[in-house]
Amino acid sequence: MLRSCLRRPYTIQHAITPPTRIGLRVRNASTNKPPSTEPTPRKLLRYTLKPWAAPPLLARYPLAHQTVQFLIYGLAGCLAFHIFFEYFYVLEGAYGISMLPTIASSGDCLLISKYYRRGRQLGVGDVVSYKHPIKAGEYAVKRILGMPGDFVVAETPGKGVGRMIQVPEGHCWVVGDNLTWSRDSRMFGPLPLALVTGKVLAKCSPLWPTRLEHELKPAVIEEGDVD
Amino acid sequence: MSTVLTSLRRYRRTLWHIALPSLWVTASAIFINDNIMEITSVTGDSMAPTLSPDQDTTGRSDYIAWNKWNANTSVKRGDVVFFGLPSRPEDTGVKRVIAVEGDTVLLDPRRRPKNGNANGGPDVPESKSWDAWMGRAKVPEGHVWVEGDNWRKSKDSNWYGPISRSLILGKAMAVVLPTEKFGSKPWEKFNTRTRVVRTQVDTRTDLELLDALGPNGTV
Repeated sequence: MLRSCLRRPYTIQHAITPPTRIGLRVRNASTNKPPSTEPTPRKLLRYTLKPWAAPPLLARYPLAHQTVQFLIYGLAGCLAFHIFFEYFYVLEGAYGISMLPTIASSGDCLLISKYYRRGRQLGVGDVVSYKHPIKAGEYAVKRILGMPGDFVVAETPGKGVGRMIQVPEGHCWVVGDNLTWSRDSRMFGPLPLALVTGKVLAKCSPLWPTRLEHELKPAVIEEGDVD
Repeated sequence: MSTVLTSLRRYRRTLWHIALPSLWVTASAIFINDNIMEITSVTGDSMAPTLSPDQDTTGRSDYIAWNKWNANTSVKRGDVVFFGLPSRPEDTGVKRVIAVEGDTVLLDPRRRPKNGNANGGPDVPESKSWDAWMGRAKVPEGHVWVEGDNWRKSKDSNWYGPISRSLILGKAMAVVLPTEKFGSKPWEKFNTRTRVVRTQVDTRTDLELLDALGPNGTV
């Protein structure tokens, strides 16, 4: 039925006037009676053995045919895009100041690779996107500081006693690049790797794509930081 | 190039009738599996005898249909949920939600983590963290407390603590296999012995709160 919806209505004439058989309709040829519209058993069974030879279902209504064709191609496109965005790559806009200067506070688009979802082949220094553990339904982007088994400082360096924690199995420790203004694992604890949705490969800000660097660098203390 | 076109033309009927429908079916199946419904088997006996009661004897596990539409937005106490495990990200677990955010769980001493059988065994590292709750575990914001129905053999929130609500992938809809239990929901009549102090949710509107303000300006 799908195929007959998508085929172009070439054979409209074929649908309206059924093919005449030699010797059978010669007698009634002069009456010019329009063919009956109720489906006779012969009409229904004509195309069971050769369904591809049947005219399209909406052959008599070309506008409806075109609309249905458009809708079906639209649905196919939506499914294809959904699978691509879910399993391959997606572009997402990012808002917030917690990853400055790597990612701007607004206007940046991030290219996220879904190959790295659920922690597959991730390492320390990768910028990842994850489902927020506290606010269900929201996503966030931070950098991994520790993988399972690593020891990380659980507080901001310079503030507090420098308590260290070992990242438990199946979790990771994420921090934002802008340490002063970032809500990350220092607040909500180790992040389960099952919540990680992908790795951020590059950003487009707004016209020029830049690759993100997935490595740890020493912190830069800006002048004028308020303690 | 012309050979490719002629072979394409020759196999156009095959392409149109076999390859394209199979692409449609695969794409729709993937979309439905991710967003609407998924059917998985329940292995392990942490939910026995509610789910998979015969797994140890006959090896047959139950197959459950999970509702994945907005699964983590409306999680209620008593739901059986399907979630990604916090300790092994590639695996999933099936447990029952006992408490939601804000509740306080009065821990059941029978469920204290220990190695070995239910009659006592050596402590494991998780026993210490269970003792640190001092019998009352407050479920933080955005988290849920899950427990397996089989208190003897269940590695649940008593072992790994409350799990984030974002980890929940689906809620149980009905049993699919075995065919005798098709359509049934065996988890609905279960009464857990773990007691929960429910959080007091204030559902009054702003105007009602204003009206309720006492002489000191407090509610």
